Amino acid sequence: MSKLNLLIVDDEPGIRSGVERVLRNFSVGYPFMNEDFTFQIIEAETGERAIEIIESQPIDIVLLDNKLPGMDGIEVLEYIKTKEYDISVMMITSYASLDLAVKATNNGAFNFVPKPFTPQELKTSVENITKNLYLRRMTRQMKEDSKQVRFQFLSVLSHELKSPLNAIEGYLRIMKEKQVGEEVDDYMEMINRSMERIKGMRTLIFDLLDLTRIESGKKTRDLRNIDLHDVVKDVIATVEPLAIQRNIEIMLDCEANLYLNADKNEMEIILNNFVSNAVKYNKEDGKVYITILKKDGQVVMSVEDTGIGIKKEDQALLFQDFVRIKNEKTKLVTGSGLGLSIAKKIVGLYNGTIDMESEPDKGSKFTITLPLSK
Amino acid sequence: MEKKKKILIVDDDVDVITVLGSILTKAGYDVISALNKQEGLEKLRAEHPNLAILDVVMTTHYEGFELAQEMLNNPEFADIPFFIQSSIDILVTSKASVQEMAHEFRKDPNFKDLQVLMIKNVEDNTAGIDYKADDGKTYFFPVRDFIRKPVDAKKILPEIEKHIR
Repeated sequence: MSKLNLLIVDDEPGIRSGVERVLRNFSVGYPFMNEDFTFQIIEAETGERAIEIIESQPIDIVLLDNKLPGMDGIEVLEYIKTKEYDISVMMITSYASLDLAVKATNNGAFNFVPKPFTPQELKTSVENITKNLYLRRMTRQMKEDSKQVRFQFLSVLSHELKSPLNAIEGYLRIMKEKQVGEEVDDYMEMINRSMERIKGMRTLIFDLLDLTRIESGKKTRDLRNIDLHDVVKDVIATVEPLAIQRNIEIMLDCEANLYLNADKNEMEIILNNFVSNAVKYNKEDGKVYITILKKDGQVVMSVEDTGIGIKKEDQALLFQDFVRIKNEKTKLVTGSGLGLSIAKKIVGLYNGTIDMESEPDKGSKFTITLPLSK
Repeated sequence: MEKKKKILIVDDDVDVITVLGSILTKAGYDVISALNKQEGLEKLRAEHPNLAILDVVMTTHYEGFELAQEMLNNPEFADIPFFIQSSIDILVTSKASVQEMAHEFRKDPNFKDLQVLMIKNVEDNTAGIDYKADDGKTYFFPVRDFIRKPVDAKKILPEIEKHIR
């Protein structure tokens, strides 16, 4: 049960106590609301007193008479509007005129209930104003949350873009000042690292485009029956040069003509992420085992490596945007930190799951399970 | 001959360590490095350097700040001065107290939503950091100085001279 503070402003004590009596045990619920709302009734006999109360405690709803001894109800309404308080106001008055109704509406009154009213009329009005207040607050909360997520993403992104620039600029400055020697060869390691960082930045830009397309839903998905055997063959061909450099053997266990209704490009992105990680984070002379099979109405793809493995505490961070696990063994490997987060989002589009097992210094195994029927 | 002074660099970017390391080595310092908070603490304990230079955003968002706070709160490290090195913009003030200034900035609509405020008093060179952690709370702690990335030998060497133990 959540309590809303409802302020009743009327100079007639009978109306105030009547409202209190009707709403004392009244509650408002929505099927999708976690809890019902009940009301804490607070009374004010003048507009001046009402403002004092509004200033001294949080008020959610005001039932406001217009004809008051000192300042008018409409002036109280104007005050609430000027101060931009998050309060819903319902005007209650016996001297209703079109002029007043227009003025009240312009100042943000939610509705206008003429006196006298029956208990049922009061309950219906309070129910409506409560639901409206709830939806308005929820909408605002959701907007703020998504703004916050976006802001955080951009601040991390700007950090990820600055990092390679800082590294390259640092190297160039050392070269410009000839800090470590006179010959170009003295700087070859720095030149190679600079090129590596530029490559990393380019990957980041491409991954970012992929991510934006997936998240905006703008990416046109071309779902058709595709042969995963063909897809994984292509992926292995792309990763092979890097594997050969490090003498890593890639073994594939996948029957030909293994069809799945999917977008070819998305499957390439997923497999490419896991297979290239299995090579990147492997040891020299290591192995990568790829298995793809159909089982119990699902396609199960697993990529296992004999690499450096991932510590338990790092495993939880792995699928978040821009997270890269940095340690002595990974420090020279470049990447955008978006690969697994992209893969996870795509797998989500197929209602699939990703499971991982990993042991430091032994290796990691990622298993992607996609249901065959949508 | 005087014993070389030792500087610890904590940064998750191996290239920043290489660049800064080669500048500091050339300037005659002994350089050690760590890639995250955990390694940083281990090196602080084992090597007890004369100065530490800390990056901010590592595997987690405020890893460098957490390390800095641990250095301030742990008597074991109390005598090791440290800098914060990052590419976050620095706000400048001439107000007596940087912490007071942090409170002022937090009220200013232009700054109140910023995750991190790095504030430096241009008159007495005191400095402090006020940051919003993931739990939504803001934290303040004093620092010796900030260094802006990218690394620049001309700027960093005089600062190190000033603060090294």
